[in-house]
Parts: sequence; structure tokens; C-alpha cells
Amino acid sequence: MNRAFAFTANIKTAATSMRLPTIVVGMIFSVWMGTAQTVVNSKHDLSTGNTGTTQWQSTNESQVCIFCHTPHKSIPGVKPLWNKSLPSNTTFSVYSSPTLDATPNPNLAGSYSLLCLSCHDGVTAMNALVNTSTVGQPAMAGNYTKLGQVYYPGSIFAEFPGANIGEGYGGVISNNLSNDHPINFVYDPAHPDVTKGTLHNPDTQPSGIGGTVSQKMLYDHVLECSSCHNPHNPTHAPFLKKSNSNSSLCLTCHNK
Amino acid sequence: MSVLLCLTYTPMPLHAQVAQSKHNLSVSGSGTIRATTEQEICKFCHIPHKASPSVPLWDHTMSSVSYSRYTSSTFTSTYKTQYPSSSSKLCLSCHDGTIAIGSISTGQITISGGASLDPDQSLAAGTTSNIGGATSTNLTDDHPISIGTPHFSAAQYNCSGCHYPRPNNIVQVECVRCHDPHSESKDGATKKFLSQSNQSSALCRTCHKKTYWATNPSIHQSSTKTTPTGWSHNGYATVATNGCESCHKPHTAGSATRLLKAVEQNTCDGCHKGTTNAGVTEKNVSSESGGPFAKTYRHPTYTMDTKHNPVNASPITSSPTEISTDVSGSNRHAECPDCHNPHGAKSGLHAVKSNSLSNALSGVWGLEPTAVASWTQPNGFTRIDPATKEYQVCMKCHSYYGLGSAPTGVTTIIGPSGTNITDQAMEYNINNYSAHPVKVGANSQTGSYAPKALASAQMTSVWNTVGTQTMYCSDCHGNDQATSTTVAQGPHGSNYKYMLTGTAKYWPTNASGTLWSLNDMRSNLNSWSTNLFCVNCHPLHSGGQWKNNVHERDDHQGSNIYCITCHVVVPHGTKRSRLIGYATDPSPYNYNGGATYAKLAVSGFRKASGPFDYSENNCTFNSVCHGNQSNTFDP
Repeated sequence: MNRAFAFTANIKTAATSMRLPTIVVGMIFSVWMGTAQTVVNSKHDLSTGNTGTTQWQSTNESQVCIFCHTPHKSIPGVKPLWNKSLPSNTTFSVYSSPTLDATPNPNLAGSYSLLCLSCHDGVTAMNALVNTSTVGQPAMAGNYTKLGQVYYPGSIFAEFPGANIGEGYGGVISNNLSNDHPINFVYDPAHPDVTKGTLHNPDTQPSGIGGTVSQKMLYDHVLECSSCHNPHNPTHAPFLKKSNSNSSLCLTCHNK
Repeated sequence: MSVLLCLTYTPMPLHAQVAQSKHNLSVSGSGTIRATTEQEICKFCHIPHKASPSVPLWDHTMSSVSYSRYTSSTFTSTYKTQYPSSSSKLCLSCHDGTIAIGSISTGQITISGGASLDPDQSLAAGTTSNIGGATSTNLTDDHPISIGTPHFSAAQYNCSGCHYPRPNNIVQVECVRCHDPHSESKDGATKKFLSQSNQSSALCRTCHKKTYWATNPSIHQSSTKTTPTGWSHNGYATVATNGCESCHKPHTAGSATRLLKAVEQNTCDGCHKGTTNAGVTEKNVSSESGGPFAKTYRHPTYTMDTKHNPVNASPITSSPTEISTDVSGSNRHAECPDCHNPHGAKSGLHAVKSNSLSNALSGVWGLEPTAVASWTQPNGFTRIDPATKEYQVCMKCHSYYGLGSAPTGVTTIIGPSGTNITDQAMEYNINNYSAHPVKVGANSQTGSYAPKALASAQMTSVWNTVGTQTMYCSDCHGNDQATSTTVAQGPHGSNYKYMLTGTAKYWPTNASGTLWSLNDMRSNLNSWSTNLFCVNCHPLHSGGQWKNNVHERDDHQGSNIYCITCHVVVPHGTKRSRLIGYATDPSPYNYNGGATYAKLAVSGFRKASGPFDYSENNCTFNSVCHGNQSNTFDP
């Protein structure tokens, strides 16, 4: 059954779009836009079949989607059909500054961003799956199972875009998001910076990828990792939701 | 819901466009300095993940140099321990000129910028944007940042100007107090990323309170005259719209102390240069040809540039002051702001028969010497801020305060005219027997006895309110040219000794260098009526009439008897009536020439009851003239 889901995710046309999970629709949209890249062979493809360059690859798991999703027996209540063990500590230090008028919630429990941090915290093993295939917990090349094993201060991979966003390494939880763009905060028309004009009104500002910012980038007016990132499409590295040429992604929200 | 949205949504302001500013360093930027291929705009400064420092998600490589800082004699603040504070360090990561413009955590973005960039792609020294200067460490000529406590008083500064209503009042005096790096044209004339319009220095004045600016304003606050071509650095055209920046420059100032555009006198003569200045006609106080400071006898304004270091007065509500040691000894100086307060100065010439401070001196502080016994050097002073009388300004230097002890009134300091400088506070002491009415009208000269004033017939028609009229120092001392729209009136410089001004300018000798005598008047010699300085106000001999019977006396009109045989050479004030000097008086009160009468000859004088009531016993002499007489003589 897991195999079947993986096959679905590899679809490169819109032929069966009505039956696909929402997460796949974005991919298909990209195809329609003419940027025909998918998660397959991207850095998010941890399967044995990845022919691209990646530090992280299983030596025995050929499925692609399984590292994040499962059609059955996913973690209860965690959308979208989540198959990846979540961080044991869901509280993160968050960005703050004298001019930040938002109040990010440091507890990411229930936040979509916690899903991303289930690998990108640096300490949660990326092969810790809930519903495995017949190979069991996937074996990883070099036994590199955690981002913090490679991306840590002083390592030759430590420079940005080191994917170790949470900056845990050596198995030690850091959960440091204080030097990262804030997430898990409300960005709605009542946001003080919208009133001041330094942020665009998300309900009226075009996202540039169809619809408004609120419709295409926010989650009930909450900003998450996936407001800027599309984990399934490497077209605009690093997995950006749209091109950042002329900083157009940043300037979608920031009125600078 | 839609109604609510209309109320809360502010449309994007047109000026808030970093993409259209010089800070768009991407290939799409419009400035000289921009990337050759890089398309992203924000990334030159910001990064969304793993930023360092975290706030504000910073990514540009930081500079590690340490900076020299602004200071001045009136700067009483401390700097923060961390200098510059973190937010200003961000700006300096490009603007000190040490780090390549494209240097970010992921590598170095290639930049083109021609001569604006050094070979390492950092900002070249000499470019406007490089505020670190040639050494990349020089912030002495830039407005101070990262000011800690203690700092300035509420009398001088608006607290709310620096302390924003932000959490912890965190935004104090840092680069971002005046600049918005994301918006180039909130001040569209300056286009220096100012945080608001600085027309007429509206931005400067959010913090700075300037006396004589908001109330009782200076002509510099309102003048619609255009500044000279090339003078304005902020794009504004007039003195009023340039505001503070008519004279001050907040970055890479020409003269670091007080952030002046140039050395102090050259800041003033940037505009005040007569007709030689491109686009501007203004009174000339320059040292260029024709200017008063190019003349033979002048205040040393252009030759001393480091001596004027006033300190904050106490209470600080009054203007900065200089104590005696700041203006005496090796610190003696005469800079423009010693006599003028450019923040308070107004337009207009001084009045006649008055000593009230003239408009040009408005707002400057002065000294009122304490009255002492006759012919004693006053050494007590009351600071008057602002000065109300012109002489109070002169007294700052021409008294014990600036001269030091001189019990005889005579110092060892040789003035530009080649004679020893004397103490004017001593000479104008109201307890002296006589003095020109610079300080008080003749009737108020306490030390004088009746008749205190001259008869009105002894004066020109202008000076006809004898006894009550007063006068200015600058009635006698000033520019040798007649004042005009381009000629300044005051005692800046002159080609005549002692900077004597008026129609007649020679004293105590005539144009040929010979001492004036009554014979010149009797025989109409040496152009006395247009050259003898005293006749500007004292007719002496007109319509065939002498104005007193002393001058009328034939015996006194010999060609070898001179004005200075009886009168002091420095005719400010004396311890005898009618500015008479005694043979025992020292130079320069005593001319002390070689000939018998080329020096003071009198040994006793008693003022008569009227100008024609003098007799031989009003004067006594030891061995000359009419010898010893008996009377109650002035001491």
C-alpha cells in the first residue's frame, strides 16, 4: 500500500488530480507552470533511487514519500498523513526584536512547522518512521540519520544553507530558532505592521502563485515554514514556494 | 468585515521601495554600486535562517575594526560600553569601508562599482557612503551614535526624540534613528535614506532643541536666500530649508568638532563672502581679497582654529560658556562664535546713541564687569546670557577675564596695531572720572563730577542728547569701508590702525604719521576735518569757533603741542576728567614720544564748570607750560 502512494506522488501530469491529496496539487500546478521538477531526485528524496546529489540516502528504502507520509496508520491527528516521528521537545527559542510586533508561539505542538523540524531540528532521526515498509526502519548511508551529524558548527557543511535549522547536533537538542525568520505567529490584517504599512495586508496582497497571501501562504492567518517553502518542489532552491529573484518572495509580504 | 479592513489597511507608501533605492544592490539596482548577476535584493543584508546576529536576521559580514568617536567640549555624554551598538554595527559592515559590499555568509557576491569601490569591493575612501574615512575607523567627524548614560539634559534635547515608544525604549541614537535603510526618499531632496523629511531640519529638531530657533528665531532659521552653488550637501536650496545643515554636516564633517561643514570661519564665510560667492550676495567677513580679515588690522579669527572650546554652562539652559582660562593666556582667541551666535544672529545694523546689543550679535553671551574703585582693574564679572549690551561681548577678551592681571590697565600683550593692549573694563569702570559713554551715559558716570557731560554744542548734531546717550565700541572700531549689502560693519578688520572707523580714521597721528595738534585745526592742515578721528563726533573747531576756551587758547595751538600732550592716546576712560592724562601715565596711554610735548605733560587737572570757564589753575605742570598751579586736582 505504501508503494502505491509513492507511485501516486510521482505522477507528472494532471490526469488524476481530483483524487490526489492536496499536497500533490501544488506539484501539479508547478508542472502546469512549466517548471517540471518534483520531489523525486530532490534533496528531499531520501530513497535508494535518488540519482541526484545528496548527503542523505537510504541504502534499502526505495520509496520516496514514506519518509514523511503514509496513507495508513499515520500519526493520529497529524496532517498530512504524517509518518515521521516528531521532535521529543516541541518548544523552541524564537526570534524576537524590538521592532517585531508579532508574538511567535514557542511551542510548536500542533504547528505544521513542527513537521519540518522533525528532521530540521538536527537531532530527530530522519529514518524514525511510524509506518515502515517491509525493510523496517530505513538504513541510511554512512549511518547518517540526523542533520546534526553533518551540519554542526565547524563542520565542512556548516555553512548556509545547512539544513540544520534547529541547530541541534551531537544528539543534543538545541531547538534554536532565534536566528531564523519567525514562524507560528498570526499574520492577519490586524497585524500592527499591516496598519503601519511595513507589511502588506495578507488578505488582499497577491501571493504571486494564485490567490492572496492568506489563501496560498498562510494557515488560518498563521505563518509556517511552508508559507515560504514547498518541500516537494526544488525548482527554486532551497525548496522555495516561488522564485526569490528581486527578492520577490520576501517582498510578497514585506513592504520595503 | 470589509469596513474594518478599510479602516486598518494602509496602502503601500510609494517611498517604501528598497528595490528602487541605492540599497538595491542586486543586478536590477539603479545605483552605481550593484551586483553583476545576483538577482536577490534582501540577501545583501538579511537571511531567513541561521542569521548572525539574529536580529534583524543579519547576514552581511561584520567589520571588526574599532572606531574613534566624536567628542567636543560640550559633549557630556558617555558612550555605551558596546560601541557601536549592535544595530549601528550592521550599517558599518558596509559603510566603514572595510568589508566587501557583497560579502555574506554564503560567499562573496561580485559587485561592480567603478571608482566607488576599492579593489576588494569595499566602499572606497572619499565616497559619500564611506563614513569611516581613509582609515575606515574615523567616526570623529560623524554624528555620535550609541550614546549611553549619563547624557544630555532635557533642556537641550527632547527625550522622546531619542527614546522611541518601543519596548524598552530600545531605539536610541543609532544609525536607524535618522536613517531608514529600506527607504531612500522619505526625504526626497536629500535621498540619504532619512527616516523622515529633514526640510528645515525637521529631523534634527526631533531631538535637538535650539534656543533662538523655535522662538525668537535667528535670521538663519528663516532666510530664503539660496546657499552658494555647491554648498548644500542635502539637496535643499535655501538657508531656511537647509536648516542646521547650512553650517553642520552630520557625516564626514569638514571640521569634526561640532560637525561643521568646514573650519569655523570657513563655515561662516561659506556664505558670508560678499559678491565673490557663486549665487550669493552676503556681507563679506572673509579673509579673501577685499574681506575684512584680509586687512592689516584685524581680529585673529583666521589664524586660530583650535582655541574656541566652550563648555556647557550651569544651568545648562543657557548657552555654552568659556571660563577665564579658556580665553586668556595661550588660549586667547577671537573666533566667529565668540562674538556671534549663529543660532541667534539676526539681520540689522546697530542703532545710534545706544549701546544695546545689535542684531548681528543677538544671542551671544557677555560679561558685565563689577564696578570697582576709580582706575582699578575689575576682576569680578557677571555672566549675561544673552548679552544685552555690545560692550559685554567685547569684555570677554578685553578685560581681566581674557587679559589677566594688569593693575595699570596695560598688559604685555602687543595688539595688531603694535601697541600694548589695555583693559577696557578698567577704562569703562563707572567710578572713573571720565569715560566715553560706552557703558553708561555721561550723567551716570558715578566717578565724574559736574558738569559730567560735554555741552551739546561740543558735539555734532547727531550726538545731541548729551549726558544720556550711549555708544557702541563699534561706533569707533570697525570696518574702514562704509557698510553695505556686502560690507560688514563690525570690528572684523580694517586697514586703519586700531580699526578706527567713520569718515575720519587717523589717531593720534595724521596720515603722514605726525601727531595731531590744534595747529592743524587753526591752520587747516593735514585734512584734519576729514582725517582727525575725533571730529567724527567732536567738531572741535567749526564755523570759526572753538568749542572750549582751552583749545581756543593761542598758547595751546603751537605746532609742537599735540592732542596727546594733554589727552590719553587710548581715549576710552581715565581716572581724570575729560580723558586727560598725566605725565606719570604709562604707555600706551602716554604717547611717550621724544619731543618735549610728544608725551603727556600735565601733572594736575581740574574740570571747569563749563567749556569756556577754564583758567590757568585748571591745569598744573611741574616744569613746562604754566608751571605749578594750586587747585583740587583729579588724582
